Amino acid sequence: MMSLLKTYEIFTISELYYWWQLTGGDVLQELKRQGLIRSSPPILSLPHLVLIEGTILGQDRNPATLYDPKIVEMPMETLYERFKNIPFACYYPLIQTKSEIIARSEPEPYDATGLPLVIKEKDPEYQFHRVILLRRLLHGYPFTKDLIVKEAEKDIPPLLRGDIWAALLNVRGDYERQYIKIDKVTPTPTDRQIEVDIPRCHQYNELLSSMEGHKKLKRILKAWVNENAQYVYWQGLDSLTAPFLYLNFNDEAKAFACLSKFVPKYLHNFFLKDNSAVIEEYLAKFSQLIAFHDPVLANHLYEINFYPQLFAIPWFLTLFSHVFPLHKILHLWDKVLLGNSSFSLHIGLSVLTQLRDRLLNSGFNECILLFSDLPEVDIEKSVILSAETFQKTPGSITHREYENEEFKKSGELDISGVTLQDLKRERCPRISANDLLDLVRNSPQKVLVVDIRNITQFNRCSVRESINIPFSSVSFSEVKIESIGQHSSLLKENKDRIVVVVGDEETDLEVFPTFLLKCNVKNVCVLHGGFNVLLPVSPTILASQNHNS
Amino acid sequence: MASRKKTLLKVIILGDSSVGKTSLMNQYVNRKFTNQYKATIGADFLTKELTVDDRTVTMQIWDTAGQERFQSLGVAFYRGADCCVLVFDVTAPNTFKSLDSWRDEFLIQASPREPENFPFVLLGNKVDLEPRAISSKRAQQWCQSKNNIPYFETSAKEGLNVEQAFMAIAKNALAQQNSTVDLYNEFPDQIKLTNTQKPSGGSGCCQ
Repeated sequence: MMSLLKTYEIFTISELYYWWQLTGGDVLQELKRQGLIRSSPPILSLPHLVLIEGTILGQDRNPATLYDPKIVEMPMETLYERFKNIPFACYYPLIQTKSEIIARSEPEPYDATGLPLVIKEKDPEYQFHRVILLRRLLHGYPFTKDLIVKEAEKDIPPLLRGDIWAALLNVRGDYERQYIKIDKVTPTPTDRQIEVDIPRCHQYNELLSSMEGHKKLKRILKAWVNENAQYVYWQGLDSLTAPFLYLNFNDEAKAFACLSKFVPKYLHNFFLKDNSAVIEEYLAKFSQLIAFHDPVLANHLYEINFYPQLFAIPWFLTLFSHVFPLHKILHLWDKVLLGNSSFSLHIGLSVLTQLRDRLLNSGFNECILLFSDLPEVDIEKSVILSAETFQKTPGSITHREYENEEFKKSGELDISGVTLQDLKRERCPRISANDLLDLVRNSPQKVLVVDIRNITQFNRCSVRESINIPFSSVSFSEVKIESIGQHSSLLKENKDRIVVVVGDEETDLEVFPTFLLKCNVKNVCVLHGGFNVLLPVSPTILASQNHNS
Repeated sequence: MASRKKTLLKVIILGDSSVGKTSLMNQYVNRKFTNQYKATIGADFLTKELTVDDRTVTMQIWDTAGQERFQSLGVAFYRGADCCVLVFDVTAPNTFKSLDSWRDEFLIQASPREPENFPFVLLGNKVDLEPRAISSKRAQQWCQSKNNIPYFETSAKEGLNVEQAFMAIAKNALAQQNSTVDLYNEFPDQIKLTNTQKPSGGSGCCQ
């Protein structure tokens, strides 16, 4: 027993308390058992007299709320019992250098693979291992950033989530001093809006609905508005701040630092006073992403005029923090923080996918009502679905002109210069030459290049393994895939291959892909810049087709 | 446009933040009140079927964000509205002062055919609260100055006058639709006449 106790001494009180709770510890229960909290009938707590202006007289103060210096011991037996089989070496996991000999003598890692996330979060042993490992990595931050990312991909232990998020967001340096220096007091015209929003922001949560919570949230929001002169306060920024405040309730400065890192990375320019171009681009990209992955749904929503503008603004403006309750946001953002600013689009898609059947069977009115009171969305499912589509989608498909330059690819073979007007008209997304080259070179089985130039040009020079469906040979009058001729079955049976439409100035780069979309062909995109963009760069993937046609 | 034949009324609710737009809509449609609503971002919707003069109509109520900024994102919401409900909080003078700009903004964005005859209804909400800052008289004067807009004093919390107000809204919306329905049916909004300016420009000849 003694040696066991000694091992626990290396823990912080919050760690111990956390594990203790997971093994069933409950302070209130214990205080009750020891007779320190006695419940009395509610009627006894009524005041004797309430004056009309609200003064309360004759209400006895509940003695339980008074300070009592008595020390109460909490029973630790269950925790000790639970942890007694954890080998000593697990208390000091080796991270950086691991020789083969040492690795062999290491205890087997605690196996929780395959368990649902909510179970893992409630499993004391698993959380023990996770906390021990990640707190060590956090001690080494920023040098251990890569390892933290790797571990965060598995899951994030709730106890350390605030710190891990801060690490993932690259919060560094003396954020406390920076925060202290910011003016959070001087009244501004924005105050009224902030004041009416805070009492409506995640108020089911005890911390956020407390007086102290309101004060803190107000200070953080005022500080943010003050620090970001280029931006303004938009409703929803309160919801966006809420998860950070909740996780760092006693470290306002860190909550602020996280928000300040989060916005430029994930919501760049979303809070401009005139953000309409940024938001519209994002929504148009969302439509294209739906079309790319789920043409049937996209066509249905298009036909009933059900545009993302009508329902998705709060989704993306607040990265779902205004839409879901905190416990769901935490799990969602665990993944968001590992991805880039397009991940949110994939989450949006995953929400639609979960509601797919109902959407397909509904007209405009029912759809709009469905989103008004967003039905139960399974967040774990959403996380899995969005990670899947995110991984399957070439990066340039979600390219945005308004993306933060810091994170944007803008080489010659990337996409650039797409106007919002063009974007809103195009129903299928563009793909960059870089992504096409990558597909053709490294995973040719995943791509089907459809060349829509005329046969002479095609024969002279075209992408290896590409098929030719001359634009002029197709009659678009009837929406059925057979209209495109001999290759129709290839497209009809297309499973997961990415269909890249390649044309040139002389071909219409919208009609053809839109036609494929209307015929419910999946994964359709258009090569940005057309065929000629490939000419100078990659003679290796181009060929003359004369010999095989 | 086919949906118009089913008598669908599109009603849009505008007004400053936290004057009770969402609460009014929910009180009317679900007969429920809670002071736990979250702020509306973008727009929110509910529908209700009701009978007006022996006709069954579906009222589609569009609840909007109260922060003025959202207007720039909200053009899609305003289009095709049959009636616009303006809401202010009788205990908050600023929300009354903003009414003019809400009305103007709506006329610009929705650009109805006859702006001066487009039906508005004004609701002074939160009459259950004290102290009162805007008297009935003052609100009514404003209504008179705007071509006699109907005015109701409501409490979404207590359900006071909400039913009556929405009935008036439905009637006004229906009257509006009857006066323009033929035009709408024949020509979707794409039709442009000689005027090359955008209809949403607001600098048209009607002003």
